[in-house]
Amino acid sequence: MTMRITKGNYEAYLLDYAEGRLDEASVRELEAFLDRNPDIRAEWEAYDPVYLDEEPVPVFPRKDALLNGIITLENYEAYLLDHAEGNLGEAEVAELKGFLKAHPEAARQFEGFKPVYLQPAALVSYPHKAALRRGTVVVPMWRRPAVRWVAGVAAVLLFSLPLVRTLVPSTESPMHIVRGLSSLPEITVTPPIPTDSTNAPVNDNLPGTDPATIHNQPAVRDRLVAVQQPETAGEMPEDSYKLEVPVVLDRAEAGEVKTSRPNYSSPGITRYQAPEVIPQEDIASKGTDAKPVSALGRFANDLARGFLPEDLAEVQPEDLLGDRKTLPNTIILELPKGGKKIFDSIFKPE
Amino acid sequence: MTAAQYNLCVSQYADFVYRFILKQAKNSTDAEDIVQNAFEILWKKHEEVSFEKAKSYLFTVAHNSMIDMFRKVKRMDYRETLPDSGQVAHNSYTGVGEVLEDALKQIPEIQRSAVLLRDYEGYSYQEIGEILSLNESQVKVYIFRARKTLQHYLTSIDNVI
Repeated sequence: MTMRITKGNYEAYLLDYAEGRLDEASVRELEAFLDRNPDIRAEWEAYDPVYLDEEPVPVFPRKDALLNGIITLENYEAYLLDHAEGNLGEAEVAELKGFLKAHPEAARQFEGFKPVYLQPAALVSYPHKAALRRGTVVVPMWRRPAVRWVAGVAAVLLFSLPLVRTLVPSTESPMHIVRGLSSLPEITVTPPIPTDSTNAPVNDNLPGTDPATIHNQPAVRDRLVAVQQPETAGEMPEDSYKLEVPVVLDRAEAGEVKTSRPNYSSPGITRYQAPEVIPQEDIASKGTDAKPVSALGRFANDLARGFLPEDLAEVQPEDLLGDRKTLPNTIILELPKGGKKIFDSIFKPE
Repeated sequence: MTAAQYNLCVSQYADFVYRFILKQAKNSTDAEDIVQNAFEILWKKHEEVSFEKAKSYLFTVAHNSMIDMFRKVKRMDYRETLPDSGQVAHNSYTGVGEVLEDALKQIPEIQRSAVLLRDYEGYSYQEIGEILSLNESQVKVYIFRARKTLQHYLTSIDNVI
């Protein structure tokens, strides 16, 4: 005989036993089970089941509202509205009239019923939409297509470097930014790439330099175009690190920007001692004569928080000049793997 | 079913479904909402549900709606967990009915639903299983335990009348 009764289902058999639904064979099996489990037998012998007596059935108070296609005191107002809007057929109109005749109090509501309809006001325009717009969220940057990342990095460097004084004339190219990561104790932020050679001496006579002109110089544009179409577009480069670049925004504080030797806090992070990143909203509080550089300051802070313009064309050099007040700021560039290689490709041609 | 049959279901079953839910809901308003929702669903599906199956369909929908409501407001643990007996409020009652009401509140919802459907509505164990999405054996287990718990509660010395 197959043992069907277990400690997981014995209660179902006890219930059937109590209610007389077990055949003889099942009774014998159950008794054998109880013999093997004296605790369960004790439970069975104490079992005195309680049955609930049926109670009076309460009246559901909203029964009329449940009826469909029948006009009741619960739903007649919906029919009145439908009638006012011409949505009732002849049969329904007749039914409604019959209902109103049977319910004078409802009919009184119907008399003179003229629904009021609201008309929308003139279009309301939210006045601060521009402030809501954001550039592309770049964090984490390695998720963005490489082409956009490269373009964004190039834009940062191209747009920010012209506004930085060359603090100490240097014969070294902007590739210092990359070199400094590994060998130089000091980092000099240099002007943008000379058009003829990245190894040419840096000209620190920048007052007349128009970043737009620099940006639009053929060699730079070509280089920008070139790095916008990397061979490995879309692939994640190998080595990643984070680069924090201090940017001085005003000539008045031109001078050498020195940073300590980079401390590699982790294999993927390179940090420079740099001024704190000042949120746009705090810039105004950082000095009596300080005034936020609206476009550049916002741009730099956006970059620091991981935003880049959706389209580089939106960021024109002339837009970034602003009032050029003095406030140091830091651009944090989180570079995906292979960033160093890409930097080299920008500033150190083969 | 036809619209006329649906309206007949309203007349015949609304009160019974209301009683079933009212025994378990915290207040009559919630119970009314659950019943109304059940009939709304039946109306939406009335062309797919036969008139003969409408009553059990209503109980199934109402029960599921009740569980959803309980879960939403976190009023009750649907799992079969017996309340700590130390937390049971022992009040003095003037009638067996009130004692039973209190006893019903002590048992888990699934047991309560099963025993109400059995004793109040007279459903078979198989039908109860269909309503509560259980197999017949599970229904019997729950009802056995419910009756035992009710017995234990009623024979508790503090509830002797």
